[in-house]
Amino acid sequence: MKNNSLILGGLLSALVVIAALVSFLWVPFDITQLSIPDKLQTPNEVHWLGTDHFGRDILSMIMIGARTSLAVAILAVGIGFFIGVPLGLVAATKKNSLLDETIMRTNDLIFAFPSLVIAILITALFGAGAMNAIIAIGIFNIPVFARVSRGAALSLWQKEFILAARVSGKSDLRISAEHIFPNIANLLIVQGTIQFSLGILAEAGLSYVGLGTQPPVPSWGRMLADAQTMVSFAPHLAIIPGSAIIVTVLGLNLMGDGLRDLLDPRVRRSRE
Amino acid sequence: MSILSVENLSLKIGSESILNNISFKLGHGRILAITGESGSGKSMTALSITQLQPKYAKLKGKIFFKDQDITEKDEFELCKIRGAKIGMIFQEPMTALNPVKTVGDQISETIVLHSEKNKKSADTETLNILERVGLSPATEVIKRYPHELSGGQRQRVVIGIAIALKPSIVIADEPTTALDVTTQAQILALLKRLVKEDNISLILITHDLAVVSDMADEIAIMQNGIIVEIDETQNLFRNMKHPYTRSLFAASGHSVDLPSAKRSADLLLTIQNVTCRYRLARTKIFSKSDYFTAVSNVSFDIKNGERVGLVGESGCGKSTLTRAILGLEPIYEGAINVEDQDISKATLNTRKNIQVVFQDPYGSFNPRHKVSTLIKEPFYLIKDALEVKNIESKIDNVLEDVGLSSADKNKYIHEFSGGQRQRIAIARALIIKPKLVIFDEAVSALDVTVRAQILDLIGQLAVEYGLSYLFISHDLAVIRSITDRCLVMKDGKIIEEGLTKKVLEQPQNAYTKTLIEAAPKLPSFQMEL
Amino acid sequence: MLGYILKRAISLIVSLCLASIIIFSVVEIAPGDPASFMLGINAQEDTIAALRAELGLDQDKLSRYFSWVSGMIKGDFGTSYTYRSPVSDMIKERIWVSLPLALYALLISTFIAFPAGIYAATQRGKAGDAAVMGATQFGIAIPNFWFAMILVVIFALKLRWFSAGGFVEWENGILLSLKSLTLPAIALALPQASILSRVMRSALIETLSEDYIRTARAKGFGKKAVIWRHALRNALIPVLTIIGLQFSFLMAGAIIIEQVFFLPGLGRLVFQAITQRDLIVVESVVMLLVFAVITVNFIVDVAYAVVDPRLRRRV
Repeated sequence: MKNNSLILGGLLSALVVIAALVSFLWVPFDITQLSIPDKLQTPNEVHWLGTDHFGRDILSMIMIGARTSLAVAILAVGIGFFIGVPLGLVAATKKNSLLDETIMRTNDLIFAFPSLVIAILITALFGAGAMNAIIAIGIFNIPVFARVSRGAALSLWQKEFILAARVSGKSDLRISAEHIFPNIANLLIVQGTIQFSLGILAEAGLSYVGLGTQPPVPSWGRMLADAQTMVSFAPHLAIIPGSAIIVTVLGLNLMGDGLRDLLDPRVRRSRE
Repeated sequence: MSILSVENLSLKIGSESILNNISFKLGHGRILAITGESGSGKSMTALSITQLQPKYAKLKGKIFFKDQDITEKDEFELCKIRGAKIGMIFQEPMTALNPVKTVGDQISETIVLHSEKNKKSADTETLNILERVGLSPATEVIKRYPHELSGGQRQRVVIGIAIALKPSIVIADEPTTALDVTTQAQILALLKRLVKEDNISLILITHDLAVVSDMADEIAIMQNGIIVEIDETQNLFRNMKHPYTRSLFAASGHSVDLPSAKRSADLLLTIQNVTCRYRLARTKIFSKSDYFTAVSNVSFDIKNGERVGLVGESGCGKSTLTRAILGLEPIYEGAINVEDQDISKATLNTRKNIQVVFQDPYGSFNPRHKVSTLIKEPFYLIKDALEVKNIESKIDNVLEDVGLSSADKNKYIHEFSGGQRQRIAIARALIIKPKLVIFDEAVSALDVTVRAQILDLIGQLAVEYGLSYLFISHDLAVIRSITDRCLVMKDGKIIEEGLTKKVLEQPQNAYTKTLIEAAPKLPSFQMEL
Repeated sequence: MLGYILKRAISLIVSLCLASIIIFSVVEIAPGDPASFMLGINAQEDTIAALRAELGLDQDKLSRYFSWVSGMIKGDFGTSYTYRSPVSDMIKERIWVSLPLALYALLISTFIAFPAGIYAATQRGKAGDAAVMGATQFGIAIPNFWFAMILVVIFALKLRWFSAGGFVEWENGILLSLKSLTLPAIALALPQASILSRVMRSALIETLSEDYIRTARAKGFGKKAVIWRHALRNALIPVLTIIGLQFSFLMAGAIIIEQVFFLPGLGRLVFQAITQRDLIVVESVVMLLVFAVITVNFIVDVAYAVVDPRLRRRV
């Protein structure tokens, strides 16, 4: 059952990624051209997913929107990962020291801030747009990665092979890089897929309230916002972008689950 | 008439056969020991008797308890038997009790479950039980949580739970393996007394032949899921029909043929008045931190070529001392010198003279590295380019010296057994040809037969490489077989030292005497050839 | 135990102080001046200056910070730039929407998650477990504002069981008020219930693999009894953390849902204030939300010590 998660998740995620990548080269229709006579078509042979209230092809908008969502989410994960993991590893080298306490207390403090509100605050005050959305979401990924890597690192520091490395004269920093990081990489990958999927949802939320990616670049969140007033007579306007979000998040989470079970030695043993 | 009769019991997990046609009988009031090394299937046998084996295991055969077949019973009936008619004691006292309930509650709930009593009268009964298992004052202990008790005390609680309803059978699966030698002796004595008082039939599962020779009426020897030999204790030791029994016995009492070492008068390691202490967590917010002195004013030397042992139970400070010698632990007072160089100011050059072999063959290696990467790690200490040349051939050589092959260097550590891993650990320690190796309980986690092989290896390599070593162990038999001189440590102090033979045969200190008496001994039977 | 609580309390106060500094700083460094924003592009220099003086914006940052903090301690959250009315009044009104909404959603979430998680753990590896895991995967993937839209279409527009938005004041009847909060609470609860179910499930599975569970079964407790008597209490510990986090998220996470349903809550307040550059309101509401989170964490920490006796001795 678990391997199914990985396969299904991988397929769904790949679908979205491919759609996004293809969109750089080709989309079915040019969405900068408004075409009012074609508006509000339900899915048909010409427009596979229909058109919106401006006559724009929804499939094309979904493909380009995939680009936006994925880019924002992955860059936000990047911020969290490249800042959070080193912080967590360093904190673990000197448990309970002043450095460790400072890092952990700062972590807790960031966690205490309501991420959505702050993201809205940042994008509203400093300017709406993808860049600020990335930063706003990314900031909240940092304490997650810091906490996960510190926790995993701490339990590894107790192991004897770390002691052996210290006996060989290696410094804490070198041990963190050579021994600790490779052994927590799996955990971080799994956490990465979770944060990635959360980033997709956050970007959608920000775009929904108008603070994420700005027009004319399409984004799934804003497609939903636009759909809201017309949902009673043109439900496909809401259902399709919503489904796109669900498929992407679902795919990423399933992949994360599958990866976790694939890489966890305990689960492997009980299946044998 | 036997109270328990196991007939043709077989257990499979997937395609692997764990138990293969096991049969034995347990007589009323008798103590049966099931002995074997890891993987022999003895724990699975224990679990099967009360049908607590894992869900994915397929069981075949019959288990007759008082003439009723347990394998035919449903869960409801089994629950009536467990705890009330058959009690169980498991190996790890530290995790066997629920941390959020008091020990009193955990005993009382068994009583309430199986009898008509209410909580109040159950609690009164619990007080009695606590007294019987030696936990006094019972009125205090009944309110305690498990984390407030020591390992030995927790095991007494577990025993209390097992005998609370005066069961017919108690199954004890490695009840003392995780405990100190002195605590082990007490717990075994307690078990012996209780089963006699209550006329309980006991199944004692252990890997330790010495423990068993003292306690059991009958012994069953298990290997790879089969009972290879089963007999009355005296007969078994006298006859030892099966070759495995013989090798088990030989390994248990194995003594290494220590070649005489070339010794010199040069001081290799000097430890002078060393004290190590560390801060305790505060229990009150405004009190000053208390310190715990792990090592207290310890002094001794090791000369070139000496083979020294350090004996002590857990908590005596040997781990802290080891780390201090390796330069990994700050020293509060005193000095440690390696060839006249202070270890706290040691350069990498000095550090390369000391290496270590740890206890846990499973935790000592990074699971992501190949064996060659693991073994050559100490070369990080060597900055001399000349010595670093030809690392590959050095790896090959040391692997062969420890009894493995050079082809093994490209494998990953999970492909090796416990004994093989310790060989790799020794290879890692020896590759840069240090002068002193610290063996920190290096054979304690190994099966008896493997242990004997590794001890032989150590004895032989020490002479080949011209090593001195400090061998730390809680096991007196090991110390006897592998060291010339030994020190006894308790509460951070060295309380006795001298030639190994002398210390173990004519101990001066009271604690040393207790240790020696507590250690279970193999009967010295002459094997009939 | 006292030392434990004391240490946590000090931590709480320090966190609050730091949080206030951060909030104040973030709002301060934002580009744009509230006064010129309010008056528009064509405003005169001196009008702007006069407004700034009136709003107290001409004082230096440090004294503004201290007057803000000291005001908050006294319960005075300042005066809104946009509406010129006391912020504390505005908060008081809105909190009677946001707090009940958060609790309502938390209740729904817990009522679904606990049985689902326990069921999944006991059915581990079987069809029941797979069903729960599948459903929760969906639940986590659904954006709550999209779900809200769907709920409105089905239950408000088509079935007419609920209204499409708006809040019925408490004075007009508790049941009616709750009715107006029901669809929003369900929308909020869906992803939270999914997450909580999974946490409950994994916490229980983890607990059930511990040694003392084996001891309990060896004592003769049946599988159900083992779960109720031994496993659940230990499994609660990680579950409590998540519930604490969820409450915080629900208070703040409702910001978008309140927009969808036109609920006059804190979320809508802070959103409008952000767009109107009413910084006093923004600072105060964010501070309040952070205070709620930190306080809930404190309560959860104390609850830990109640549930797990191992923590009571330590500081």
